[in-house]
Amino acid sequence: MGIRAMQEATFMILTALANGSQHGYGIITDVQEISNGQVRLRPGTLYTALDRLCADELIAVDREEIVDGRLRRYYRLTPTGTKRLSAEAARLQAHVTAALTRLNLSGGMAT
Amino acid sequence: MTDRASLERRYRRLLAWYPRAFRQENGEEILAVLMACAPEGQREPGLAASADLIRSGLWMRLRPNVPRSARAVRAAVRLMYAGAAVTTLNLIAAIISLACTGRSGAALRLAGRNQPLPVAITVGIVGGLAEIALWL
Repeated sequence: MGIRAMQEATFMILTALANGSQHGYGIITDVQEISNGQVRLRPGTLYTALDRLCADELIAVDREEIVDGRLRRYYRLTPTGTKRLSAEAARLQAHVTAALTRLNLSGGMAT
Repeated sequence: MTDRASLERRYRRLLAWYPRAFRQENGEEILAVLMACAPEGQREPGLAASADLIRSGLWMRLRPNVPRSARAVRAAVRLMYAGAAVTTLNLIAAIISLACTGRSGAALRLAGRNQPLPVAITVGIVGGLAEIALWL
């Protein structure tokens, strides 16, 4: 069985957690920033993804805090999550390199 | 009621689409994120956000979260889905045949025949619905 490509939302969530734990709202704003405002996670989508990532043990709950009477749960990458993210990043990079190389080549031929 | 309180109440109502266990575990947290995302003065959930909550909630009900590593459990869940699919097909077939007998029912009645069939089909439909309700 081949490696299944990661969904963009998943990839962005893992990326947001790559340099430290964050809570739900932090992930949403961070993902928006990383993607130059292109990826806006909605809370429903985010928590469906977080729930699945926890079940797959790619992320784990880091700690809980109560801020202004509201629960804030911080999530962090697990070692498995780190491995999975770097594998996916390498895979995407290979594709991007291939695409750019070919575009440059054909661009060179066209002119 | 203030705008914030009214918004929160509406969001809470939308969270009812999620399975209870998930809501108990994550409801307050999601609510906090929803409220943090809402600009000041917003009174009701946006259409897109509502649709997203309903979709996610239903998805969670239909898709029990089983880690990829637990193959046997995943297989069992798949089997359960197959069972549910068969039940649903049965149900659709029952409804269609009920609709058909309903149409030809007048002719049959004129012929003075007993009709135990629709009763059986009705029982089948109610049973099927009950099964789906229990399963959800």
